[in-house]
Amino acid sequence: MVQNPGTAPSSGHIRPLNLPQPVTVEENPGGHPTAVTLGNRRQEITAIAEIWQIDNEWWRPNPISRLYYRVTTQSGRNLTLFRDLLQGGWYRHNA
Amino acid sequence: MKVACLLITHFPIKVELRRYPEARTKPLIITEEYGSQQVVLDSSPAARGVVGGMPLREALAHCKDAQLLPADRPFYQAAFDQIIETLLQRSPLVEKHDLGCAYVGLDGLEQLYRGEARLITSLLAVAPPSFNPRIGVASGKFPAYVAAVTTDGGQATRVPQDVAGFLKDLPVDLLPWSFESKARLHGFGLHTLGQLAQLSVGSVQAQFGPEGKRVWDLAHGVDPQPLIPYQPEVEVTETLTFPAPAVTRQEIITAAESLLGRTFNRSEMQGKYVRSVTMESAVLRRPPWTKKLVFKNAVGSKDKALFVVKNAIESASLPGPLEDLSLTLTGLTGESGVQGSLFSNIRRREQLREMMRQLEAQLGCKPPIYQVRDIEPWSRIPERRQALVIFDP
Repeated sequence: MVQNPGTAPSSGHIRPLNLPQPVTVEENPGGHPTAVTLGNRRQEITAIAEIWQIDNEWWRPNPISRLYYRVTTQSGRNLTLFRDLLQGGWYRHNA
Repeated sequence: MKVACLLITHFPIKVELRRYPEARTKPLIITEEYGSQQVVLDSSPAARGVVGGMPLREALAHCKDAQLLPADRPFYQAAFDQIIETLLQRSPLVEKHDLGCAYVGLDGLEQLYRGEARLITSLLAVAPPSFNPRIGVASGKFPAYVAAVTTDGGQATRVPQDVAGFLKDLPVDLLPWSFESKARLHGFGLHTLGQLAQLSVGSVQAQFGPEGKRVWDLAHGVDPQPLIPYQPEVEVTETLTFPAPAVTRQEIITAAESLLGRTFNRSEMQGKYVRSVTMESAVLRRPPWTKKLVFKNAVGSKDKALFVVKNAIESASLPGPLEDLSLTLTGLTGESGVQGSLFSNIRRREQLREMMRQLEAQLGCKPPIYQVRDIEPWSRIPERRQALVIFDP
């Protein structure tokens, strides 16, 4: 659902969807996620279903290098998280 | 007829140096593609031995440490158009001849400016001082051009009554003629305009045909060609910037569709048809990409224009990732020459437009209604797969 911002939309841009959101993630010594904080709720990660790495746009000033995790939390929710291998920090995608 | 020639030498270089002042430190060469090879469009005076039209390889042999810059012709044209617009405020009769060269009709203006000197000063002021414009005044375009060429920057020269005498010692290379023809003149031992003028018109005509008669007249200072008034064309332009450089055709087509919607919704497009559309784009680390499309029949709707634009994008050879996209409609006309169909989605589209108008009236701004469009649905990067585009029925 897109909220009405009450202002005219920016006419000069295409707005990308599903931009990465920063999240707080706890890691084990191996660097894999063990818990994630969504809002104010900390949730244990019970399973890592898939791990994959993306290295792209290396020719641009801001290249992309991410390590993705498809995880399941203790509440049974499936999440897509990734660690930015260049800048550091954890992010999640909504879909 | 009294004509002034406003000349800005090395115009592309001067425009680039305003854009990139740090480039002043080294010789600068602007290159462009000519067929399959790179040639020099313009070069700074520090690049000694380099001239326009020279192949890049040869230019680099003359000036090894030169900085190379790809030509940005749309940018140069826009910069010169600004100067032409200012000239039009000084005189109603202005001819845009070439990049950096314009002719101005002066008849009747002296009284308005209270003297020729004030008028010329006013013309010199149309360009920024760093462009160092120069002016030649004469009774015809060619002698005015020659006077401008032989004048120092920021100065003006008025050709005396004896025009042929003024021209006689100047080289024939100044003639607006092909390189081969001028080489032939040199081959005959004719190096100056005076030497050419001394010949009989018949002998020059026998060698060079009708063109020979024309250059013989020019060598005498006679140029009957009238000024061709510059008529600014009405253009409708819309631009958008890609969130990340666009590499897929689908992304570019989506952007073009959005831009076409916006251009055809502009108030100046109401009841109008267009004959051509130009797409321009800044390309990552490459010269800008430009594509002009001329419609077989003038089109008055986004959908008909999109059909042609889409085909053109699908078959175009893109030079690299596009940073932005600008779409300009030109050749506006009130007629299409083709009767529109009665049976189409007109009613549905009209209803959607009406709904958007009502929402805009209620909200007091353009409704923030978007549609989700696939951009790169196959992308491994999730945020590149879909995007929100302004809903434009």
